[in-house]
Amino acid sequence: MRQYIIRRLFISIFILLGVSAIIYGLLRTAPADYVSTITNGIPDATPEMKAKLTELYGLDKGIVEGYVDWLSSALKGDLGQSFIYNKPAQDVIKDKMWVSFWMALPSFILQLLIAIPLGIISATKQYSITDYTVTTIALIGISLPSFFFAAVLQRAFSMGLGWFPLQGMVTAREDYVGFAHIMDMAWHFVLPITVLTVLSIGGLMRYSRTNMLEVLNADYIRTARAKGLSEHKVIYKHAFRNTLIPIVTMVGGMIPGLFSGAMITEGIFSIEGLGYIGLKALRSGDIPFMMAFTMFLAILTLLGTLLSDILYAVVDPRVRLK
Amino acid sequence: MSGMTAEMKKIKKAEQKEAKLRMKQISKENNKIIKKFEKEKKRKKVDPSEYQTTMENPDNIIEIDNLHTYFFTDMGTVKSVNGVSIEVPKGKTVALVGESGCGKSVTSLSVMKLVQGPTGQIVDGAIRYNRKGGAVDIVKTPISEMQHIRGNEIAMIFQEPMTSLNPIFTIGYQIDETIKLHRPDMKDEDIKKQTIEMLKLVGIARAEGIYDCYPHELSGGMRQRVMIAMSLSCDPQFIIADEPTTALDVTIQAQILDLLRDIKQKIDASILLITHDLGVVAEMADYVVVMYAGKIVEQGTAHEVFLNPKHPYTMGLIKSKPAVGKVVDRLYSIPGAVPNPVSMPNYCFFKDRCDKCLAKCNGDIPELRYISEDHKVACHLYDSKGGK
Repeated sequence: MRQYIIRRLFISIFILLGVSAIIYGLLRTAPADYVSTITNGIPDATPEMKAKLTELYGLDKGIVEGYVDWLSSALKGDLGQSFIYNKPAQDVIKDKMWVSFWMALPSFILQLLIAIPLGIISATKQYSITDYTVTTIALIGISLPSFFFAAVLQRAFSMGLGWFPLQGMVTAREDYVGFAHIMDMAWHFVLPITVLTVLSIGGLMRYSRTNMLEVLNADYIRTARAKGLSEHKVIYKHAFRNTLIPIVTMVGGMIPGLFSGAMITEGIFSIEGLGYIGLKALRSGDIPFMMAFTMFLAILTLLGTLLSDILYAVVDPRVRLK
Repeated sequence: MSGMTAEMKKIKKAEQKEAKLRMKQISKENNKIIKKFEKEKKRKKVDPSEYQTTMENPDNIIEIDNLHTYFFTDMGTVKSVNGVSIEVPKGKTVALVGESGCGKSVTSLSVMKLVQGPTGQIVDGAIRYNRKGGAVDIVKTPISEMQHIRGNEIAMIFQEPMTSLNPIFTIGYQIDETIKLHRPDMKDEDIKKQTIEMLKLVGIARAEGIYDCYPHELSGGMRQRVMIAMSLSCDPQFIIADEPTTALDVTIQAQILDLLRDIKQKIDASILLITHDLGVVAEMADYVVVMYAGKIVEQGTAHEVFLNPKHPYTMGLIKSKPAVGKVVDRLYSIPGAVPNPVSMPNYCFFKDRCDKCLAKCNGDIPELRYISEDHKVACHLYDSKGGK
């Protein structure tokens, strides 16, 4: 097992190298670099000034040279200064990822608590009214675009009823501290969390339902019934444990993703999470930040797949990692 | 030309529409029927008098009487078991033979009330089970009561040992679970002892080691032994073995059969053996029941049916069995195929494949009739002879 993990991590290094090269190339070939973004609004910026700025930001170097530069400093642990924030890119990520995390975690927990039981119930009552209702609601959740659903929620609960703030993370000019601050943030997070949860319940619920149905038709479920076990035990012990195998591996793989931010939802609710500022950085051509951000996403993805493989071996006695 | 295709398209469309409508109607009617049966199965607190009954012959352990098990599919009703009557005397082995899809497995699952719901339902008939506390009719017994019978008094061995054990529990746990369920006052260590004893009984040498193994670590033959150990762990009076050797290779088959026979002697149980392997029947069975398309075509002692087969289908079956020491160009096979289960003909189901047809065969479906004291056959060929 340990050997397996070490080998996987070793392979990951090469994957990250490849990913970074591709992304750097793509970012550099994108039209409109950072200098043109900031000089756009200044009509009397001379070509000399622009050239100087370009040199200052290191954008005058060729793609290969620039990549080698970036890589050599990245290997030393320096991901470069973010153009926009004027801070080391990794510090920006460190700050903002927790915002994304505290928004994603409650939604993640709610998702599990709602989607898995619903999936199981609708599988055990296949083709019943309950099943159709749950499936329909789940499909509505999957098909709703996040911006639309967010706008509906904003309209109803903040502009209409006034229960929750329209956007932002804290109430302006209140300067709460301690517990009051946390409560204030939680209050601001209610709507975004609702959006994230409702939109992702459907997928997980359908997944649980399909898996449960498959397991319920398995021969060993018939054996369990033939033993004389009650239907409750058959479903919640023999079937559920088997259903959990694919679910645990999928859900485990989702955990690192909690830090990656939700671009659209964060944008609509003006929440300064990673997704929101990532999009901003992309628009203005903040290459060091984008590099750090995408590398961060790549690492999270690799960790997610590794975690899900390890969990597979943990929950399923048939799987041994070598 | 184009006009014709348009016309044809129209007809086709109309046909499709009609088929769709018919299907909808069928599924609507099915739902109604299924709901009724499911409701009855799920009842709790049923007065025992409702399912108590008396055996016709107290020496029988099971009397299946005119059993009808149907599957209500969207394509129509499939009459998998269509009026089957089987008696299993105490301490005897009855073999149920027939080709795939003739209703053998459904008959056996009906006895356990394990027919895959909600489409599959026992619609008519009785399954009288000679229980120690008094005979019961399994068809009327609610599931909650069946759970005391399953695994405890009637046990079942399935045909797929590779997939019949739960992959995420150890062998020991799965057998323990059965014992614990039916013997709630037994101590944990006694249960474990009993489990290991059962594993030894079925010829597993390293029983203690196997106790902690997961199913995937065992071979098919071993798993079938485990399945047998599990089904015998509560000393059942009646064992249903649904093609216990089909998935195993020939050398293991013989071992498993020997094992079943030995154990049957030891615990004095009765066996309903389902198989399509006539070699197995010859070796094991006291009585043979031959099924074809949901009905019994021939029934009698193993000796009679084997040496003196009467029904053309049975003859065909015996002829199509490979025999050692006999030189044949090509193994015999019964021509044709089983009729469509949704729309069964109203004459003898075997007529279209039979090489001994009479004019009479176009008439009613032949009934199962005695042709001698211990031999029954359902064929018009024997209408004049004997009869009850």
